[in-house]
Amino acid sequence: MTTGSITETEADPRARVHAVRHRYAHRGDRATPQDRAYSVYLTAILGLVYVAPVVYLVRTTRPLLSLESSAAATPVACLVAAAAVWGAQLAGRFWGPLVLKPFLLHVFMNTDLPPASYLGAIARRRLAYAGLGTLLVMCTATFLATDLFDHAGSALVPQSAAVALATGAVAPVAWLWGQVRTVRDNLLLATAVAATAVTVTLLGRSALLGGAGLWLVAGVLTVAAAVLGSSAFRSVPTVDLARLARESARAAEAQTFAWTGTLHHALDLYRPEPRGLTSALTRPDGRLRGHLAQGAVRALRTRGRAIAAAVFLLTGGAVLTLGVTTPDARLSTLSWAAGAAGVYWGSGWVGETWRGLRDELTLTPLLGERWGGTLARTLAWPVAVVTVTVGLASGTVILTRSPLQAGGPALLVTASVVLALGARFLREMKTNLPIELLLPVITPLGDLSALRVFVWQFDGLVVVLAGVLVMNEMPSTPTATLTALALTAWCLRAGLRRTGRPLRRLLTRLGRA
Amino acid sequence: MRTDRLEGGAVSDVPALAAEGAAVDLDGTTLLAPTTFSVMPGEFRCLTGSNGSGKTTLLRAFLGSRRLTDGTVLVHGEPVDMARPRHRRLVASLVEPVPVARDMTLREQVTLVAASWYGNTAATAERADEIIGRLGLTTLGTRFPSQLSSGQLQLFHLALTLVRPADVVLLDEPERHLDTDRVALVGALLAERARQGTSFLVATHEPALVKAGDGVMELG
Repeated sequence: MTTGSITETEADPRARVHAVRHRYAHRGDRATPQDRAYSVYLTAILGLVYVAPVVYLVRTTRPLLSLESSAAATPVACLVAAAAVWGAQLAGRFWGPLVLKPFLLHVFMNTDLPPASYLGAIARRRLAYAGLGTLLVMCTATFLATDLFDHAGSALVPQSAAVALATGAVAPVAWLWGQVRTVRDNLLLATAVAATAVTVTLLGRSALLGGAGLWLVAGVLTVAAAVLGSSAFRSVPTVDLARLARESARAAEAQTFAWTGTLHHALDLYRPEPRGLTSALTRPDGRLRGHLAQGAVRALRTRGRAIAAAVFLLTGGAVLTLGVTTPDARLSTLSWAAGAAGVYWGSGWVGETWRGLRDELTLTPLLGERWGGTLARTLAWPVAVVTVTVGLASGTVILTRSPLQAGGPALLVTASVVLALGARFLREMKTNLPIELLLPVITPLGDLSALRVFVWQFDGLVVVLAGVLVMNEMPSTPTATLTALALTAWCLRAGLRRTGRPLRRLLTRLGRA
Repeated sequence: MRTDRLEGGAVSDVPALAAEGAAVDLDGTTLLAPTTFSVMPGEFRCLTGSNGSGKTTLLRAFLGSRRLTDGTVLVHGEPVDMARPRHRRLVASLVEPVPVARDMTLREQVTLVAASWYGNTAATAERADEIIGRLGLTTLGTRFPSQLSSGQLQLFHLALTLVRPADVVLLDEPERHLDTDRVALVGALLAERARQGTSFLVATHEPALVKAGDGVMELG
């Protein structure tokens, strides 16, 4: 049966796309209206139980950012909009709006239908949802974190709403742009966004606009949305279908992991593939290089991730130190927590040796258990890099702030970094979802087992943030430091227990040189 | 350089598939040594050779998912380019792993592929039922992929590939997991389709398929 034999019976492209979509939408275990209604019900209950108290607490305290004039609000709006565009671009590189179910994409890809005929409608619908979501998040964040919406008659209210709307328009198209354009185009766009944000900020703070800085931000964002949207949609017909198929297959696998409670396995699928330096692990005479050199070589095989780690460690270290050295400032706790989270993330991206440690401790040792030096082999590189990088950033911040304070800030920074490393160890030792987490936790507020599973998914981050909050509440630096050390010890013990092996035997094995 | 050893009868002047010095090197490793041969319309040609001799690489080159480092490959006289709708219209393949929907039955999935060509017309069900019947899958039509054996899954993948119209079909070891009877069944079906005008290039280690074809090209 050749293609020449189907010309009489072949339907037009629109009808073919419709036929496939219709049949796929009516497949076996699709969600029923009752399923969707139950999801809405659960979301409402969770919102009432967990989100409503937070909203109430935030609204009854002073706003985090007091933006009383357009000149004060414009830089914040520019920063938020730029971050939204950058985040959307990055998300598009990993999980863009054109990602489909692999089977459905395979069916379409194996026809002569132009990609725009089956991807265009899906992209438009997803961008509309993403726009609504962005708008909702922007308005909620503005309502909770600033005082812009507090005065109903203020001229800043319509301006802020316009900025939120425009950001809701530009972020989704940046998401599509991130997926369909090349890395080079994305870097150019990111640079242009940074330059535009700086220019608009300067203009907004000057007297030239007379308090209309937010209108300028909204206008620029609207024009950007129109230009970017048109350009991104023009690229849809020429999208690389083979790459899209790979992305869709990976996304489907990741979704399965995420739905079955092992988000860390899903994230593993997005680790970059190593490239280059294929013979750099050994010296010219054939001997293996030292632990630090090996770690550096392996990190440089995934340069993008290594750069991201360096940026997060340096920025995290600086922000963390700023938070610690200004205990009276209103943003200090936030800065401290954000910095510690940055160090936590950076410590994970700095190398693959964490994974080596987990594998050595959890997998069956096929060559026997007499191999020593596990800790030096696996931890030397990440611990050294985190210590040196954060130390540099932190030292620079401490030295540039006057007057110089005594050892307190350095001790708190060190304790926070140790806590971040302990939390990283805890997270990296994670294997499969423990079955006991699925048991019901009956409380007056209902079954909270879902909350426990949620916390388990993000346990490292939760430990870091909770630890910083507890340290912040401690009356003195030594007590805060002891708290961090106690939490780190707990992380180490819990991490070792996750291997499923007796603690004493494990410690003996780790102690071998 | 290899040359075609087949003495096949030509149906048309323009080969359905043609390779001229096609070669693939990857980081100094030869995946496909320079190869020259052609498959005429309506011809069922097999590719044989040891593991690593370049059978799958050649199929991928015709499919458009593997770029050549030297030489050319043509489909109906035109350069291979997966981005061109005409190329996708002409070529069907079972070379890369086929994703399937875990929540759709075998019949639903085959019918869906047919619908992507014939829309909501009577031809969709006809074509789907025909290929399901020809591959002996009629009694399995209401099963989900997880309820199929490895051999049945292979037949299912073949059904997904053959239910659509194509001038050229590329198959990589279609005999995988199949018993002798099923291999003969597939061989007969491919030969019949070839007589109707479809060209086949099949990488295989199965003598029965080689015997069913019009000729063989040995790599390596």
